[in-house]
Amino acid sequence: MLEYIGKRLLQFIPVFFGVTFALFVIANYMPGADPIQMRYGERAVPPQIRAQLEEQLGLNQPVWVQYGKYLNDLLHGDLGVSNQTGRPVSTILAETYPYTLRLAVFAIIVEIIVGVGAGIISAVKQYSFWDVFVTLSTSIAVALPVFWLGILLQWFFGIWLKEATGGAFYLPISGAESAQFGPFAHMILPGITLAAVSTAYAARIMRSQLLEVNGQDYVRTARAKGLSGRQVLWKHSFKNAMIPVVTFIGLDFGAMLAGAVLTETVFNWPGVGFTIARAILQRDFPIVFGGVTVILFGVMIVNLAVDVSYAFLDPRIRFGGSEE
Amino acid sequence: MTEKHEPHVPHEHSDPTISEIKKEGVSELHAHAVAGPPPREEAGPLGGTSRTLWGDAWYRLRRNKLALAALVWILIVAIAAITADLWVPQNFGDPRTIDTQAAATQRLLPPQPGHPFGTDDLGRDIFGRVIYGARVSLTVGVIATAIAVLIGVALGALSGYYGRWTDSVIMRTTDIFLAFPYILFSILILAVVPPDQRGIWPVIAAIGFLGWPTFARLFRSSVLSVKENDYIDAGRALGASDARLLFRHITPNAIAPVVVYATMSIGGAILSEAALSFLGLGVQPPAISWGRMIDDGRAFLTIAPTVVLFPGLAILSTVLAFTLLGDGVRDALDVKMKD
Amino acid sequence: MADELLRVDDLKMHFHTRDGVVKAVDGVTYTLGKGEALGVVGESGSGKSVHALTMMGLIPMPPGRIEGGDVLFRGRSLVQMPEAEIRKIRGNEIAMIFQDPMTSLNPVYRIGRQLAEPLMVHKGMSKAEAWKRAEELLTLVGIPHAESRVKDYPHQFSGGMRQRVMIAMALACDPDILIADEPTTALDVTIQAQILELMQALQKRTGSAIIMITHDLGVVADMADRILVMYAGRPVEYGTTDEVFYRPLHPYTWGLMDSIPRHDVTQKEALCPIKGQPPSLIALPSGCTFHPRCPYATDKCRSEVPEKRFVAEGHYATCHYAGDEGFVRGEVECAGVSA
Repeated sequence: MLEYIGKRLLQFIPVFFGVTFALFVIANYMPGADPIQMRYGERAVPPQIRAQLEEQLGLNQPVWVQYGKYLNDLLHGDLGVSNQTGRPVSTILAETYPYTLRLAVFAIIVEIIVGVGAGIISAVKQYSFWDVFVTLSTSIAVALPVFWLGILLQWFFGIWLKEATGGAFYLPISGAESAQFGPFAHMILPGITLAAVSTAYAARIMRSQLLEVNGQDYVRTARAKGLSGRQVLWKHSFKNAMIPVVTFIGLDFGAMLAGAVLTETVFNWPGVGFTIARAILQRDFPIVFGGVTVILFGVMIVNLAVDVSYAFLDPRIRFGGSEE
Repeated sequence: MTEKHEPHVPHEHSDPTISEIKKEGVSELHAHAVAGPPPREEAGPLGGTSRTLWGDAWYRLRRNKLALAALVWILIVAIAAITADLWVPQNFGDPRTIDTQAAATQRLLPPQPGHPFGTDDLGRDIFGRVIYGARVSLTVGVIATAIAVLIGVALGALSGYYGRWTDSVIMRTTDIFLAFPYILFSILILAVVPPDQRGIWPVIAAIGFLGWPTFARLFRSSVLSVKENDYIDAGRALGASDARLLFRHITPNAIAPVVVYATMSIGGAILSEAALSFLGLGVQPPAISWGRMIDDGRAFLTIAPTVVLFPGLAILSTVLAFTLLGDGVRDALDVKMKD
Repeated sequence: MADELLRVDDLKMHFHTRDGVVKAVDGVTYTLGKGEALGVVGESGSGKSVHALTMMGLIPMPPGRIEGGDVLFRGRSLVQMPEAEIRKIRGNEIAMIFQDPMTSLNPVYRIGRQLAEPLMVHKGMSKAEAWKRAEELLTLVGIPHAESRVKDYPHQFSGGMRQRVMIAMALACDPDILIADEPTTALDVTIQAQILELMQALQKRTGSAIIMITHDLGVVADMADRILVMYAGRPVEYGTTDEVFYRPLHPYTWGLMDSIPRHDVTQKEALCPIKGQPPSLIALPSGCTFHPRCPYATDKCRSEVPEKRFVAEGHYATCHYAGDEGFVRGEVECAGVSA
């Protein structure tokens, strides 16, 4: 097992450097982009300031020196400053990251309960109405633009429902909290939106894994030993089928951090994604860059953790190879 | 070229168990990538009936009602989009231009005769806009996928065929690309492009350029399986060069999973383009994009939700069609391979 | 018979599939006494495994369906028993081991736990008691260091050892009947002999009856008291081992005997397989299913389904001419090429 973990950690290193280098290249060397303009803002850069910035950013230095400086800044948490407000990017992100995290956690919980549950029921009652329903809705969910779903939910639960019930019952559709609704109520719609597509995938994977496992020889052995259908399902099938599903959900957490950009924009949820989207419109490039970097790192770490956790889940890896 | 929520699996090629959790279809695809000997033309007893792999697959595909319906829908949308200039402006007004009179008197109309999808806040007919928007979506979908396929297949072939160091380097690179959701990368790339230069080509480039790793992996898997077949050795024994082997023998047999995934990828690319346009990073006005329409329509949600509804349905139906078509193609090729 | 444990009476089980009805088990008849060993031989697809799974109620019913006959275990009908009842018998009074020990054990549970399971379910043992008994069982089947091995996972055992574990698991509750479905097919030749020896020794020791399903005549020659030969789902011949080996009645059995490679023959003789292929179970030949491959087939064979003809008590063959005066094994042209 240690060998496995060690291997994974080692593989992480080139990925880390590759990603940071790619980010670095994009920031400074994209064809047609002007790195100084990006940091300065919308208005044109006056020549004196340009020379100053060039010096400050070290743009006339060799590439590897720049990369080194960039890495150094990165590891010290220095992501530059916003060209709109002048505040350090890292501070802005630190304020907004917790919101994104909350939303992602909520979405993951929905995914686990609804997605995995639906997948199990679907597999156990194959070809039943429920199975067909799940298969159909997941096929559609996969083709659904998430941001559009969010808007539809906003309309239905926030606007139409309000009218239909004369203002009695509706859900908040904007921001993270308000006078009438606590923070949790605000999280419901964006959380569901964020979870929607992932839940569909999770259901499909759970279902297909369970069906595949059910066809395995050891399930037949378990039945031959006289175990009831339920015992076979929970003790034998499920535990095996869960392993890839758990890994999937773990990796999906990373995807959620990323997908949050669209969902947060729709619901004005003050997380990292929303901040990035707004910065795009305001041409506040340092925030865009910093925000994306931070999310990327979050995803990389989660992926690594999932990879490593796999060693604990699968006894074949935990306890090494076979003995003769 | 996939859903932004699709988790990209790191290190898949070195650990077969984790690869099982990749999106359905992809993992099944390269399990079915092993094909038999190269397709042979056979004259049937009635003469002239060819039974090639692709001929048979096409036959099976035709029998799959769902996939067929999907294909028909795609063709309808495509033809409508291509011929739009011929019939849209005449019947619904030109949705690409702003008619100040219409903007004043005809804003945000609900669906009605003459405006089947209603009008937007500038008096433009939404149905017409949706049709024109299809141009952008389909163009981006197809071209971006084509780019990703070309790069991916080329690199996958080299990786699978030559192995060793080439393989390592290429696979490491795919690891980096696949380590995380690529929508973030596309956002970054497109945010860097100055706003006046944004448009359809940066979007195509971003999506295409970021989509190749999955194809490379997929094709590499296929190549590795096909490479082991005896007829490859036979070809080599007859003196065929590497390039010849690759092009004429390995590729036709290994390409099937790529075809399937490419079809689905077009759907994914359309979704990505919509998302990017929604954020303002895609095509700019006066060019029309479904994603952009949704963003524009958000402000009027309380008054006229149809402004948001129809572009979204357009995206949903088109992407769904490509997904179902991809499923159908997979089933069609799969059964043949199992023979 | 006083000691009769199991009576299988004209058991018929067919699969109803989209492509047709598969007559997987078609009229199997035999009895099994206490402590007796029955060898069920046949080619792949002869229904030898499926009939055992049917008896145990392990065939999914759809698409399978019992079309007739019965299986009486100690006088109780297994065919009509509800699931809850038959579950108490499975793993308890009738136990089964399967062909591939690699995949037949659950990879995520320790061996001890898998051994303890039937004990806890059927005998109501506590976890501690069951684990203790598991250790004893491991020692019984010849696995050294049982106290530490019992905590290991399946992948930490070799193929032969895994099969021993399977045997131990089957014997845990002291079953009256042990059904072994090709227990040695997936193992190395050298290990095969060990496992067979083990099974014989255990059988003598525990006194349980055994149904040994195999395609290898050599295996049954050693172990079995009686033999059932199956072909295309139908029982072709049934009798004591002596009777079947030395006085076989059915042309198929003759063919099987002829096709056994012999190392006591000094001149070079070609191996003599039965010509032709076993039929598809969906499209069975008319009349006697063996007629296309039978050198003695007559028109009657082609049109009428033969009944079981008893030549002595407990020795039958399903052939129109079995036991007839003059119907004996003749010299048959070999399908193979002479040396």
